[in-house]
Amino acid sequence: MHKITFFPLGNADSYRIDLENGKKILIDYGAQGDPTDADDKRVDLPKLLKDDLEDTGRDYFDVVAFTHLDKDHVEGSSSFFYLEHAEKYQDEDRIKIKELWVPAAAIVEEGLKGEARIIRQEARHRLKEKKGIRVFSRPNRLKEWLEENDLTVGECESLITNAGETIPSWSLGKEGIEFFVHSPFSKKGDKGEEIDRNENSLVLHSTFRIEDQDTKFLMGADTTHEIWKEIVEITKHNSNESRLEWDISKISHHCSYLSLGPEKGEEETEPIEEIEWLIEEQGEKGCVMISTSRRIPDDDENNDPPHRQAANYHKRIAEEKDGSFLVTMEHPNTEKPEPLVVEIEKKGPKPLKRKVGAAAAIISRPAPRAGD
Amino acid sequence: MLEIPKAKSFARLAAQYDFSKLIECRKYSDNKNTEVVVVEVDVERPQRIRHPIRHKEILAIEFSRDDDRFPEVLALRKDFPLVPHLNLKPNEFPRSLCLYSEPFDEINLFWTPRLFLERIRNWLAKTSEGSLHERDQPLEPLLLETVGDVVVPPDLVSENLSDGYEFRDIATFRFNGRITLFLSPPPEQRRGKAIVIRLDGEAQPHGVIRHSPRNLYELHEFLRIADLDLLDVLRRALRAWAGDTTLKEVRDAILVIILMLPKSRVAGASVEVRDRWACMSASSIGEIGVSVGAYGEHGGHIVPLIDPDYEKNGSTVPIGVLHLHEELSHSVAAGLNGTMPRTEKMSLIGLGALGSQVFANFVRSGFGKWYLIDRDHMLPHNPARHAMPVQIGENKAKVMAYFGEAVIPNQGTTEAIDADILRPGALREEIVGALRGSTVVVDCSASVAVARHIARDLENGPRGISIFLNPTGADLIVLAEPNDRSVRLDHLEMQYYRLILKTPELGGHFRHPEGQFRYSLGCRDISSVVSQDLICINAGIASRVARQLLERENGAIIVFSVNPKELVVCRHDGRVYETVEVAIGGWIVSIDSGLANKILGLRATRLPNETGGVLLGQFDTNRKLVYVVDTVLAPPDSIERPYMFVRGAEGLRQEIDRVYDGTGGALQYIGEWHSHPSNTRCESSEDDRSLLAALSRHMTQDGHPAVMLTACDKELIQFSVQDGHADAIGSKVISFSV
Repeated sequence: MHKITFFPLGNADSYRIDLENGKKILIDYGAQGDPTDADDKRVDLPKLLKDDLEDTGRDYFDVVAFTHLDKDHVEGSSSFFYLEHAEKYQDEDRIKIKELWVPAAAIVEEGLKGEARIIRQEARHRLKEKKGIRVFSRPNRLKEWLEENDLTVGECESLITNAGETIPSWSLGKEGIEFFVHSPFSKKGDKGEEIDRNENSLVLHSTFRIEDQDTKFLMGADTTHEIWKEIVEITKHNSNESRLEWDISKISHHCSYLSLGPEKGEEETEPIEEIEWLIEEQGEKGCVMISTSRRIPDDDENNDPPHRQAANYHKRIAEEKDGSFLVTMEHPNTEKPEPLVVEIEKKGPKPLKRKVGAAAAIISRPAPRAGD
Repeated sequence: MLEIPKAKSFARLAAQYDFSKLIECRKYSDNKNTEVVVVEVDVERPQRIRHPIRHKEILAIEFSRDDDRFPEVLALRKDFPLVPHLNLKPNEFPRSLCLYSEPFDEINLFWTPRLFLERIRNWLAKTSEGSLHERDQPLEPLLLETVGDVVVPPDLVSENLSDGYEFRDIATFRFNGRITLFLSPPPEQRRGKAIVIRLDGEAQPHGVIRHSPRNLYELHEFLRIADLDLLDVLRRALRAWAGDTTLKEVRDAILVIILMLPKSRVAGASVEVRDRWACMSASSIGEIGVSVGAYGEHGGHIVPLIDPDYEKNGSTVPIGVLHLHEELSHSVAAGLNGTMPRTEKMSLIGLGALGSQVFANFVRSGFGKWYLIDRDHMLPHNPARHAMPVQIGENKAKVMAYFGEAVIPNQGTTEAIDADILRPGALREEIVGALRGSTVVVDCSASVAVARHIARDLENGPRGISIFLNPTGADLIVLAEPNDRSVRLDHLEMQYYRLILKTPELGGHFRHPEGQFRYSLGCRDISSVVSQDLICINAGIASRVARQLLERENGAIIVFSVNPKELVVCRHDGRVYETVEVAIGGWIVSIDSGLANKILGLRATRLPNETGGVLLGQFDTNRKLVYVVDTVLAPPDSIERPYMFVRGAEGLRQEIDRVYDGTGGALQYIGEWHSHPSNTRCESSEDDRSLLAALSRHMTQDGHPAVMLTACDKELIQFSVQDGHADAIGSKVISFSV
């Protein structure tokens, strides 16, 4: 059994893939919750991650991937991870990263601040050391930066994966999982030149295999409808449609309407043609759709995602497909959200709907103070 | 406002539980005793499912004010699928979930709204995956309602009926409104009152329970899913019978249809069990023939039709479905006991307290077909500790034969022989035949004489097992001959005494309940104060260990000792030594390799000196047997030299008394032994000869021979016997490899 755990972090992302073979992959680290604030319903991400690692006798993740370096995807990472580029991030109880996955922007982008900058420094350090790193990019895009740092594309090529490829060393036969890279991608300009999209975040499509049954997971990031449109077009152009089939979908950008189409709509967002195809044709019966977001609002007061019109669209599709639409900050309730676990077995994905008994709940934490 | 407590608590939970939503609560205007809570529940189900259960299902739960049954759970979705574990209801919709296999009263002890809700969610989740029915659970029946039971001999369900039908006598009993029908074979020369036909259907998956058919046509429709055409079978059979001269006989008979419907777990899988049903009708064969168009009425007579009337379909013949039960057979009885059935002949002697209860255990577990041998009769005190406390005055073997027949009927389970095996009189041949035809004789006679008879007097007898209790009834002794009978019961008995002597925990083994020792060989006589509890415990151990022993080739000497206060059973196993018998001076002297090697070992340790001691054992003066069983070592005042040995006497009397008491008087002084140094042969010296003569003078007074053993080489012992009465003397050398 493989397992994906989505953490309720408000409008921030972090989810962990636990493979049947024990390997652990963490996608993003948006630890925006404040555990000292009793009213903050977001979970204490570092504690949950550390507890899980402790239970399995580890102090590292096999992979930590940052889809991009926005605050809600990296927050708190500089105090959680063991970073190799500077001693001050190397306390004993920090969690190590065997391999860091970042999009090209995390190497070449200038002017980053705070946590984003620290992750960029770490990625750059690892690329210079030529180990423990994978950069998602067209290799030539990194040429300039590499040369500035006395490196060549040739000697770093094995650390770089381009869109349209699968990530080396992860295979269905050996690991029971395969990753296909949709983004960052480049487009041919009018004169045939490669145009890189700087804003591109990391968009992967993974396939889990149990015996002979595959479960496909579309791992959306903060992807907008414009980017999705291009991804769909490129994928169709290359006849890679099967790489956009899905059983599980992490809905893009905290269920923002802009990941579906340009207009929010009255009650339901209407997706652009390419996304309608992606969601309605490519999604399998009984699929699981997950919005890593705050609870879906009843009104339109707040312009930030999630947008109820986008959620209504997803809900309707889930209903039509005999599937389920789940929101991290609503699971299992809005009062006290808990990590949302999707088990992947031969029968496909199954979102767990379990509740510990009263006694188990009581003994899992200290009892309230007694006496006067 | 809800009033029924369970309804209230359930609705309250459903409203605030994470995986449920309270939709509404309802009451019936005309039924104050039922309240309904409608909820939507979240189902934990995977993507790919076996049965179309949705992620959310809406259910109505009906609570009864009487609180005497499970709240009924109804699926409100119009297209809720037909799945296993639904309750059978007059109307198909709304479907009613069957949540529990345990009785309501058991579940009610622990009922909480949360457990109930989780049970519902679990039912839906497991059903969606097709895993609600665990692999080790029995499959569900195909039909539910029955009007009664029918009991049939195994042949009706295990074999194909000749000609597809059979005449049977029927007996009907009615208990509390249910019918119990017995179908036994008819007496010779007479046709039975029922015609039994059997139909074997094609395998079908279990799980979907159907209504029981109410008439022949509905039965016909039901059987079509098993690929059977009942009407066709009936029309052919009925017209065939009419062509026979037997029409008159069959016309008034009752029809019983036995249905064998194999079931598999899923479609196409192998058959796991057969559903077995019987259908009967109050209508006669004649009426049935008319109803299915096989017969017509002509001039007030029923006549067969050449071309069946296909318009008639049997819908006018009401039928009832009966649960079919096979009479208990050896294999079913053994199956229920978790043991292997045995149907070969065996004999059991002595149907007293222990014997009757051991036999009862054997027969209840489908173990053996039995000759029971006893001459005793039931007396009013017997039922206190006898397996069959009926029929005072009847022979005990016969009483237990009734018992055997009642447990496994019509299988030749038991035959009683009312005779004393030691004095069988006219029944001698019958007993010999019974024993020779048996694979084992189980001796529960509590009689040394009977055990010795089995061991020595019967040529080509079966393997023997003796089972008896010590005087308090707390210790059980099991002596089993090896399959090749190389060590017989009498020798096992002697080695059992030695086990008692060398096992300190069995020090009180022969102590009588009153605290006195009983100086007689009849130490197994237990017609005294012994608790039925202990007999029952030991009978259970005895039957079980006997079954185990008969699975193996080896012999056995085992004492089970029940501590009557703490009720802990300890087991002591004695080693079975091979024995050698030699005929000397008109007597047969026996010794086992255990004692021989002990004596040869003692000789070796004292070399170059001679050593010796006294021999303990038993005389069977009737058969002229000497059992040499044990020895008391040289007393401290003995003189051991390289050329001589003088056995001392210090403490010897006390030691021999200890053995005598410790074995209930079974082992006593029988002679002397000494060793020769290594360079001599087994020839007797002058000293030896005069010692034997001196012994003989003493022993003759008790009617016993003098027995002298000489350990003369590292593997050789010599027996010398002098019988003063018969004026016989002789010696023989036996070789033992150490």
